[in-house]
Amino acid sequence: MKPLRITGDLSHLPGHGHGPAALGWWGTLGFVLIEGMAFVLGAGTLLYLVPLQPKWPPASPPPDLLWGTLFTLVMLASEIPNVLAARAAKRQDLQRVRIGLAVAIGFGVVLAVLRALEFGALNERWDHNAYGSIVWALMLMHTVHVATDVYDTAVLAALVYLHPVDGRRFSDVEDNAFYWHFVTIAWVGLYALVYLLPRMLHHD
Amino acid sequence: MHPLQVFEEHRQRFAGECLQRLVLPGADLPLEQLHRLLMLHPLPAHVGFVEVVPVASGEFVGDRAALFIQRVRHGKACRACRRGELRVRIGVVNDHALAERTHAGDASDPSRSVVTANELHLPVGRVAEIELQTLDVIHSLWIPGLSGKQDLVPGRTNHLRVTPRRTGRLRGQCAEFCGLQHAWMALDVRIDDEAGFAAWREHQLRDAAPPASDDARAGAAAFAAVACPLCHAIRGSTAAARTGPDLTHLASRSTLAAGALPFSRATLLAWLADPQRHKPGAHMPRVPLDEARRERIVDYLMTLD
Amino acid sequence: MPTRGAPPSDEARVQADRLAALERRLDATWRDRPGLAGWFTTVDHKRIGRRYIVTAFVFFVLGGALALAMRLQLARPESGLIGPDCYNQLFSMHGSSMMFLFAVPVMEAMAVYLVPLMAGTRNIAFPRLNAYSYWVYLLGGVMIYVAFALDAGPEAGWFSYVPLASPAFSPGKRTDFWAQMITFTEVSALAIAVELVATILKLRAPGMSLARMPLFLWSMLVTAFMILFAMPAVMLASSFLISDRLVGTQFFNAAEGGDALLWQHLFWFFGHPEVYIIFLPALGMVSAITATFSRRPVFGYPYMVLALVATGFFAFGLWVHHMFATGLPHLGNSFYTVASMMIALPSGVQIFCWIATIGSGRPRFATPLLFVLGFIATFVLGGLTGVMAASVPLDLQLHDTYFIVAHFHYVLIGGAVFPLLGAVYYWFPKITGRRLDERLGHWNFWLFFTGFHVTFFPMHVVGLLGMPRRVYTYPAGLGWEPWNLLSTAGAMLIGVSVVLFAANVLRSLRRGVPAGDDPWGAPDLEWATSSPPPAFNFALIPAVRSSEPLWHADGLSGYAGLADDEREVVLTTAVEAEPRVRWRMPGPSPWPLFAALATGVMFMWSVFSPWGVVWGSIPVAIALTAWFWPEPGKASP
Repeated sequence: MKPLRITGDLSHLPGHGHGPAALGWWGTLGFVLIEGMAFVLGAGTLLYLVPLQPKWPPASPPPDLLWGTLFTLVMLASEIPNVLAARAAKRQDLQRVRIGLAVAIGFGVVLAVLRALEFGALNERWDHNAYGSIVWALMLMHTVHVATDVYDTAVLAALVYLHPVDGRRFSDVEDNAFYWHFVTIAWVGLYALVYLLPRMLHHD
Repeated sequence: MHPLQVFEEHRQRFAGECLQRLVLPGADLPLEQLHRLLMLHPLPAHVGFVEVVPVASGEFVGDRAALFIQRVRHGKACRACRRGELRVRIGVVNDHALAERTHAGDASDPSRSVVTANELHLPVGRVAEIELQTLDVIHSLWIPGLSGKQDLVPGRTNHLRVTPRRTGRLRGQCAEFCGLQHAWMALDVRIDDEAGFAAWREHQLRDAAPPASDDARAGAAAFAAVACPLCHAIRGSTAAARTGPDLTHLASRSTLAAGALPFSRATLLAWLADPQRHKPGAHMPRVPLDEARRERIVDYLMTLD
Repeated sequence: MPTRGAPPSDEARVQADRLAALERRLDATWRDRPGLAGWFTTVDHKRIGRRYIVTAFVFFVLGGALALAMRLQLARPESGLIGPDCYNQLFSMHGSSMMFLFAVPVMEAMAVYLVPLMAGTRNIAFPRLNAYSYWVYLLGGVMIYVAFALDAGPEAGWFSYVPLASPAFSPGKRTDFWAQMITFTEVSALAIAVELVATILKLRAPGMSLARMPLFLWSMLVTAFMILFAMPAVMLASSFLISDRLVGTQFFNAAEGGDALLWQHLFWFFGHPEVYIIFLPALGMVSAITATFSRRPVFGYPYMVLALVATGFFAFGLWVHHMFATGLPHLGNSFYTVASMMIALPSGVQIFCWIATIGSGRPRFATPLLFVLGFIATFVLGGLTGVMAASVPLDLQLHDTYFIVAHFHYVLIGGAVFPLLGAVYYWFPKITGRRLDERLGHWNFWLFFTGFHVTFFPMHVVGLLGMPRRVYTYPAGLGWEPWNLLSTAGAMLIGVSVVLFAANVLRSLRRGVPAGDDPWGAPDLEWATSSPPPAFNFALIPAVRSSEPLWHADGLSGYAGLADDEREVVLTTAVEAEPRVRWRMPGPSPWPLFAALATGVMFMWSVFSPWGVVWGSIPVAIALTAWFWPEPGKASP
């Protein structure tokens, strides 16, 4: 028995939505849950390894604060263009969306440089001990997220500059900002673990 | 001073030294108070049990208090022994497809340590604390007739505490997949009465007797001349390597190659001829020997009982 | 709707004509490209679901063949049939095939096919990701079997404990292929999980509120969330293992501050939820079958939902019960004992509800219901041995023996394969348009049931007699021989029943009785369309007014208004399913395949070199960009 009687009409519904009303948001949410869990487990691994060493870090000074802290500040600042782009997208203000995305990419380039400098200042190799391994692993995991996030944003920027833009594209911009928020928040936690925790433990 | 305070003082005094030793003052403490003391001050989790150290009277322990402690902690087993040395401490160090067992009677006298291979001898009725360490992968010591299993994990020392109730012979087996020959990593467990255990231990502590017959002497010389001493030890000879099983009392054992083969002259010959054929993946390589030399070496090995 | 017996009125005929015209236009819009091009570029969840199911069953048969070889070796003590190296690869491949290449994929595949239909929509969310997921899965499965054929199959068990799997003790590339196979299968499983969450929460037909949602959709929703939270653990673990082996990290090396137990914690944090990821979809299938063949809704709907959700939560709190013998603190172990026993409660509630459903309904004992009964009998036994093993002192004897092998086969085969086979008999008519033969189905069931118990029941005994797991042979004279022989005989019987199943499927594909839309008189929406369904699933999006839409007295009606020249679906609210947005879905595309190939190259390259990840990511980025790039002049794909 197939549905044969028509009981209503859906043609009046809009062709796009914002946030959870659109399907793309749920894809981003799924990805955030997966990667978030991966970061939680990575952090858990680090905390599991701490009591197994005589001290933390076991054989080297903690990572230098300079580049990591600069990275954190720039990462937090990068929230601004993303939030602005997302708000502009909600209002369907194409011009501001374009500017916001372009500025976000600029921040992304700076972040890439700072991240490269951070790796040079971690003060331990990934293959020396488990401490080095987990710190490098967390840093690399986050770097991959930053890289994909900046790349996503670049593709999105290209699309809003070069292609016709509709309501769905605007909601893509909002989803992209959602992902960027996740990458920023994840970093705040990781910064605390990688840079601050060894210094807190050292004072014991 | 209140017994609790004395107790606490001594517990702290010895805490750093040896966590497995608790010396209790006060010979006249009734059982219930001792019990309460022990409940109030729980011992660290990995402490197997309380070792009672006999000290001359005039020091702070009375025999009666010591006995009370044993009873509180270990129930029936304690009654089996009221003498000073109550602990049989056994270290199990596992290597790939090889098991080496160390028996230490007295923690304070290493000269009474026995090293054997793939055999575990235990005295009936006494608490045995087995320390488990591995040099390679994860293994698991399991003697089903005696107790549950416990893993040997790299970087940790695990403990297994068993109290055999009956004399006899049991089979143990590695119970964590450890590589090619996990299936043939067995343990021969003998539970003897006090006298039998003491006799066995005295026998194992002796060095190997010098070979008596000509054939055995030729075998000893051949043994020392080829690759054998690179891996094996025979106390009383110059061979002292720790890579392979200790052979000092090889002929007293009932199996070869961790239970893969029964022990006999024939199987020993076959094993020597090509270990990899009988147990592919075993760590013993095929040592090139002509048949005559092999026969002489086996003659010598058969004297090592 | 025209009344039966009366000639169709004029109005009804006009209506029918309009619908037929709509169906023609929808078909033109939703149809795949013809021939091979269509096969490679399809994003139709039904086509992808079908190939996913077939591929998973191929791995089932391969994994079963490996088990048969193992059983032949173990039939006699000290048998020289198969040597240790080959045997260790056999059981590692058997476990890996069954767990990673069959059990989870087949459940997700059934969901990929059924969920959009049962939810009353036209396609699964993120259809191109769905296609990508299949290709990635296929590549991973092919890779590990090719490695196995080249004597580079995994040798350290499906769980690959370190240090045995570390570079020092597992030389060569065997473990690296295993670890990368994990990456392939986890990426594909996670992709589908994201699709399922989005489909179940946003694409349900208007009126299908969460409170009216079929239990199969609930079980898939909980499963999908479990996948999202559990699989990252094994991804992390296998990545750490690969990096220990490839670039010298020290995660699992105790000498440099690492820990062998870290592997076990990460693996089992995934591994325990994994078995519930396999089990929960089967529970959904059991509910669907039980309702239909008892001719009443499942008893205790709210409790069934709560049981599913509770199981999903509890499943994450059990993992240490795999580690009771490793020397962890006793007090911690006790917590996991409690949790491991507690998880039996929601499953117990469900069993009672199904029994009540059958008992208070009007049961028809067709093959699907037979498999449900087989499931109840078998799974309950497996659950009982599970509660036994949850007790630490008992587990210290049972752990790593054949008793545990018996336990998990009872819960996995009993709890997942029995329902799956029943589900195939149940949904085969919908998928193919023909029914499977009932007589062969009964033979299939009884052979499988008997074979299963003859194989696995003796393993309880031989485990209690001291036989450990993962041994390529065992000494004579320990009393283990008769039980092993019995198990081998049973395994042969299972093999025969699987052959019978395959024969039934192949024969019925050609000569099965044609099924109509709804051969069983079932309540759910997938039966409200033809068998097999058209490319667009439903011409009118169903309007749902009850939990059993097809049993609702008023008959089924639907919504018009979605475009028929674009691929459109309706998004509804997550809880109440009120229609909100018309959403355009992408059409066929070659980019999922190309992206999967690029992903495959990247993963396989990184078995050999860490630079594989770096350089290999470039083609992946290009493929993904092309995937999302809209056609010129269009805003979105």
